[in-house]
Amino acid sequence: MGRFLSLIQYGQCYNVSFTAQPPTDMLFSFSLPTLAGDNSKFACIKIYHPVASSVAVAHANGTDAVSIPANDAQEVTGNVTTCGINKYLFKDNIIHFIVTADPECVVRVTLRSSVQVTIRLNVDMATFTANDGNDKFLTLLANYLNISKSRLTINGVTAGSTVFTFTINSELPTVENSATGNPASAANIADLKNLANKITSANSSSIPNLLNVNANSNFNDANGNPVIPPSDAAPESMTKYIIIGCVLGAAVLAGVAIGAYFLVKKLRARPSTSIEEQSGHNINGGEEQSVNLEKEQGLQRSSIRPIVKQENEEVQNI
Amino acid sequence: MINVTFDNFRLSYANLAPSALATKCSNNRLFEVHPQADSSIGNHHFINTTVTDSDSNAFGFFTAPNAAYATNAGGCGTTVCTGRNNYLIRDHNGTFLGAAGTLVPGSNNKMIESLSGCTFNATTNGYFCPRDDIGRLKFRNIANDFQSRVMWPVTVTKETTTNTIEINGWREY
Repeated sequence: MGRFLSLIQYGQCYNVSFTAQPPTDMLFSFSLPTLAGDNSKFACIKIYHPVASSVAVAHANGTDAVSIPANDAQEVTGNVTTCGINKYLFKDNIIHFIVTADPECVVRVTLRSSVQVTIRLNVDMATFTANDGNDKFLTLLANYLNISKSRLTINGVTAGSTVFTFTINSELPTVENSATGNPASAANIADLKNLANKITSANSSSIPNLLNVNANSNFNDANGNPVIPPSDAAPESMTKYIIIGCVLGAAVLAGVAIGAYFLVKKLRARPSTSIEEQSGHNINGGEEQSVNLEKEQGLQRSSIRPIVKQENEEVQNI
Repeated sequence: MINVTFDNFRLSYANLAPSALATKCSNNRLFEVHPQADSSIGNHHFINTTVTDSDSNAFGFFTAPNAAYATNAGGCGTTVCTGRNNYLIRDHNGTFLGAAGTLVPGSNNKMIESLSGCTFNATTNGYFCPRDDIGRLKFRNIANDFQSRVMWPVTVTKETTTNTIEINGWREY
């Protein structure tokens, strides 16, 4: 069973490496150092996920955990009393997060299907990031997409004018339903595709100062394996072609079968009629046809033989 | 445990009369590992707990992991079960151990060996560390493969060091 206990020294960072692919859904917490717990005691955990996708951190009770953009200079160790504060280095697939010895601190780390989005805005970066601009923009995006802000993770904000990259994560099942959750379920894939379509069809009236948007989807199943769903256009057209092909194929086969039936019937009918006419017998099979033909030829031959014999006798008599 | 007194726990009772009892009564320790506990052992905390008329080495014995369970069938996998290496006994105010600190198992515990001030006691097979910064991290797989996929042993390595603890999943009971 995948339950693990490890003595550690508080206040340190640890690399946790699994023999196989890390679990796609995990809970981290501490055995409490005192009855009341101690939020000043913490550990920084780092886990490498070999699957290129989105690793998201939340509290086990479903509330949001603070995420630091990958390109931000701030590290999780700069705020060690914040349970679940995290930083996902999405280019390296490494997640960093803080676990404290507070009794309420149970950190959930999940590998999710996601849409990676890059938005370019016609505003300089200093203006954009001023007054908590990142968080305000994330709120705007959540409202536009009509989803919870907890499903959005900022990956980075860079100049040029302002390039804002973020991740839209698949819905997170509750801890109670975690064993049946599938980040690449048909519903999750459809949901993320819809969100990807919505964000790529945004314009400057829906997202102020918008210049352009790019979105890339990554789907992973519950075991962390990448899932490649059928393309958007392929399923309907392919199904249509398959149905048409099946119908046409069936029609052709039926036509060939009917034609063959009548042809065979016709072939059978022809010889029997002529022989019946000549021999006066009712003939049902091919063998009988040949037998009757031979009989008929035999009759003709036997009728000739006496003539030949007669001619021979006349020669001898001469 | 709060406000508890342990009395007369000793490894030997040489002065016991009649003398025949002295040979029968021995290794009377406060704590030992349950013989069937391989995967998880609870931490113990002592507050205002005292010990009287007892041996200092009779606080406990940190039993090493059972080598017989280094197996896939009925064990923990290719290495021993590590529950017996990962628990602690903490004296919060020094009334139990004589000084506030933590007792931890000594079997193959590279993480603790590296901590300054920790001393190994061969009689108890454990370390005493006069420090309160040793904790126990718990983590578990809650994905749909939580009972079907093996992803252990897991290594927990202190960053920028080679101090590593190798831990296993739970034993297959």
